[in-house]
Amino acid sequence: MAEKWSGAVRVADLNDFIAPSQACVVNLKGQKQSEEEQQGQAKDGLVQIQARKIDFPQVRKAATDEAIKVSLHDCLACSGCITSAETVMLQQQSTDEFVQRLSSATQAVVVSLSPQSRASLATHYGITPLQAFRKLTGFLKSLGVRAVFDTSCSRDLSLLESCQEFVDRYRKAAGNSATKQGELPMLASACPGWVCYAEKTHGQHILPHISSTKSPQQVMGTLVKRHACYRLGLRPEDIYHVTIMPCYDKKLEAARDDFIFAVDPGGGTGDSGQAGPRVTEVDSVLTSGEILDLLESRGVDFAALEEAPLDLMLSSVDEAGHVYGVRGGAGGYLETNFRHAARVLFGQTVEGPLQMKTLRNADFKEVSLEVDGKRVLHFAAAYGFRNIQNLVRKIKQGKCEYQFVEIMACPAGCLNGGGQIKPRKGQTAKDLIQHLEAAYLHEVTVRDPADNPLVQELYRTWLGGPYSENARSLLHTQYHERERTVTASISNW
Amino acid sequence: MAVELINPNPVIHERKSKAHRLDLPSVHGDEDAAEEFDATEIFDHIRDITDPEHPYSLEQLNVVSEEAIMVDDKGSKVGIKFTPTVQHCSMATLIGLCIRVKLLRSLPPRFKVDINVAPGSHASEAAVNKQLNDKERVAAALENPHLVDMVEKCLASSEQ
Amino acid sequence: MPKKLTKPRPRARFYPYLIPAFYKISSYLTVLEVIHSEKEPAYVSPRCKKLNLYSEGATTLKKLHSGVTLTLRTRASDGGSSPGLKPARGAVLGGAQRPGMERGMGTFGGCPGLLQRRQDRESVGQRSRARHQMGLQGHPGGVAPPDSIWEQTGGEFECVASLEGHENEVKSVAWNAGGNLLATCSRDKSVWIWEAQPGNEYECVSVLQGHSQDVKMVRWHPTRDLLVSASYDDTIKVWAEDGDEDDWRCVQTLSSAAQGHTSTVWGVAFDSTGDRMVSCSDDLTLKVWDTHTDPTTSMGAGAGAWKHVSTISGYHERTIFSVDWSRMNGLIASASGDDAIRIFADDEEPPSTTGQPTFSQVAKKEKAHSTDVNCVRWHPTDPRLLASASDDMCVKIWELRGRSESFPNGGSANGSKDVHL
Repeated sequence: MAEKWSGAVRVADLNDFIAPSQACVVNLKGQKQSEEEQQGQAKDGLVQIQARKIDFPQVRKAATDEAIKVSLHDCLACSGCITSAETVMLQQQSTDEFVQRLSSATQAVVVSLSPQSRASLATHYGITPLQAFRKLTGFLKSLGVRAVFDTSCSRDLSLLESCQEFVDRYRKAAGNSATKQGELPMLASACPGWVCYAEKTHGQHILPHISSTKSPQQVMGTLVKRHACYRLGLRPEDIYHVTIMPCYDKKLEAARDDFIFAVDPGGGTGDSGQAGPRVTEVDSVLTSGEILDLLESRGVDFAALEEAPLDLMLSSVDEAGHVYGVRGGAGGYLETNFRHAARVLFGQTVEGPLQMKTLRNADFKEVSLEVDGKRVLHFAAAYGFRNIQNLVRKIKQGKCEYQFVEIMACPAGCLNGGGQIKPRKGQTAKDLIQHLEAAYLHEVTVRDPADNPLVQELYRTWLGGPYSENARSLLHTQYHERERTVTASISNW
Repeated sequence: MAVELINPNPVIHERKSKAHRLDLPSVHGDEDAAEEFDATEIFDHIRDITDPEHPYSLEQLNVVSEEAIMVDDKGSKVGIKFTPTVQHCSMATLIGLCIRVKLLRSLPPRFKVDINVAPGSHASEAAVNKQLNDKERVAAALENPHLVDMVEKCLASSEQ
Repeated sequence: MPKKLTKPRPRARFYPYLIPAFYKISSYLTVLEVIHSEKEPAYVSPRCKKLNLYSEGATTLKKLHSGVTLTLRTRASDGGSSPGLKPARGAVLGGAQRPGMERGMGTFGGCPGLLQRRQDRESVGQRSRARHQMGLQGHPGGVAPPDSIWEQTGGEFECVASLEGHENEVKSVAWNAGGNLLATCSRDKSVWIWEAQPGNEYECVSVLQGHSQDVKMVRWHPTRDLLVSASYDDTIKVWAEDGDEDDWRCVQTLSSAAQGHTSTVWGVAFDSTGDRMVSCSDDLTLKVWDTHTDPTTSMGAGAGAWKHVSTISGYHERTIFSVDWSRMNGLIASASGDDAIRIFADDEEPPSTTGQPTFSQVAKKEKAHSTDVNCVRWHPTDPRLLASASDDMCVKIWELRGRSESFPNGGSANGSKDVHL
């Protein structure tokens, strides 16, 4: 079980993100206990796990010999858990919970599929990503899902915000030296494994360097629950948003407190004085592997499924069926930022694939831009824990020569995430990754995020432009140093 | 946010009196004779340790008892089996740590102390036992200021 | 109860019994007194003390045992930080002499802060890094002590590099045979491999996360780039570089299922050729493993798979903390929480019915120290000498006497006091 989480999270000790303590009473997000729940607690010797309101799963009462099953939401919010984080059975609960939500029909279920998971499914079944997308849409809708979207769309938004943020930082760093500290190098923030590790281990040395832009998953959450829901005729609290991602760390990200917002009861997204119900942007994350389990447990012959029409509202697919995307299995942050910065800061247009230079190992690459023989931009991509280590050490010593680094916790990037579908019998991991990389861009038209009409419309009608005030309040986040909680150390010293 | 206790309604026992100790002849006898350690003496050291959760001593909660202490003075060995109040008690390791620290301070260094949970009294018995008897782990725990604070609080009543 | 030897005592090459050989180095005593009276907080005191002594006395020790690798285990200390707790008892610092190189020594848990303070008194130039590290050590959050690399210049060691990365205290450090790789392990369950770069720079080559619990010790194979780690999770893992993946990975796990240990494995040691390995554990046994019984299976770095060949049990009564296999005389020394040091030898008689080698105890020293013996190490070139370290704050040098040899009273050279640390 431990191997599923990224190396960075494992080193930082998963227990610190899911703090155990004495009692597991779900006390999530400021909601009060109801009467009957309070009565239930007085039993001696047994630990009660209470269910709260409609948002949270009905979890069985703990009997002394029954394994306690809790969902990640409960864990992260609550101060108490009997079992250690690594033995908490997250997987099974997630898919079960998903199916339960669908059948209970109290909320509309919306699913967002990541392109890496799409590639993983496609490679596993030997079909194209577009086919996989259509078939999965058909399957999920047959279960009762309201809409299936593609996070490539929210990724474009995230990329644009990130580019603008970089340019802003670059200018600040080049200018007045008072604000120089912590501006550069800018470190990509899309990987929650990296972010969690940085918060836990490096604190203020590193956090100011991490880009404030939300990851594509969270931007999707914002889009769905703060904008698109109204177009679907729903209120934010009526939607149960599920994302399908290539790793387990995304589950940790979805459950962060920073991504909970209070719905404005008057409609719209401003915060008026009244606080409405508190809602989280992404309710649940399933991994590619979990989706595969779901399909297999139902005996579905995926390759033979009918292809359903796609929901174009929030997908990077046009009516003719062309899929759009960006190069780079980890989201393309390096690529996009590099080209954008070259253009905006130096007036250079970089055509064709970037000339990356491999350093210590295949997961550590750099690229630079030279103008008139002088190197003006020096970017890098560092995947995997050992490279992160070396990079962070350099940053702490002040010896980092890069202005931007795309940091990812998994070697070989998101396509190799812990939640991706495993290689087939006889297939090596390396082989699979090569297939995935090919599938990722198979029949995909590479398009600059700024050219995405959806994105253009969103900026025009809702956000007001990249890195604008509105965009910054909705599409950016912050990071907090995490201390080891007392309760975490009580039993596990 | 109110933290729920693991065991909100523990059973409290009476505190055994110490009166019988005064009758021992060695108190009035040869001052230089080395007194052999016995279970009673060890028990005296640990009986008043406060439970981390409740304002009662370990004796009163029947976590430790004189019968569960084994002492071999000649072989310099002490074995203690304590019973956590609840099967899933996550304080078990902390209680064990308190007992160990108290004995570290109270016994001569020649003693080898083994602290275990009473067989069958805890869900993760083997893991807890292993943790309590690994001296590197114990030493590392005692470098954690939070834990040291908690241990000191529990031992405060016992130091009198 | 120790098991009685069921076979007649083997006619060993020598008929050993141990006599402690005492060495006097007066400067040690002086420094010790000063440290005790200063009542330093825990993170400064025991570990620093050892490092301090080691570095100060390094040349002296080197004269006695040229090139000795005093690889002593560290023990996280208790005491000092909280009034009322006793000062740490004999936490001994670890250090490993870099093979073939006079200069480089990797240590861990060191508190160069104290080194700096001592240097203050002597008005020796300070290293800015030492100062920096002292700041780190003093962090209230209890920052894990970084690895330190020390370089010896003319009789003094000075810290030239500090490697951070581990989340908790570093338990063990080891240089590989070639001296270019450094392995470290920690309570945070990971094993890190660092590579020395020019200019005293060290880069992390790999972070190995296979163990499910604290890693107690790491040791390199004497000739190949094969790393072995021992852990609280009862297993021994063998790590090698995987050319394909361009990274290191675990090539074998020796667990209880493979006749491995049933409790925490505290240490491992290789014999002189590296074909055999012995491990010691909390389960009161020593286990011997062999790799050349099955040369067909390759496990990476050109070595075969490890198989269990012998278990030595029934001797020690408490956890065996350390084991070492002499390169010179092929004897295995073990140190235990029962205060004893025991020596074992390969019987080298015709194989018993199982076809496996057997080992028996050829010497023992009960009450070698007044409390737990944490570490034993053989002298790399003198087959008679053995060093041991203990919670009683002593390092003792032992001499193995053979029937055919006799030595002047009091052992060799230097006189009559314990080396106190």
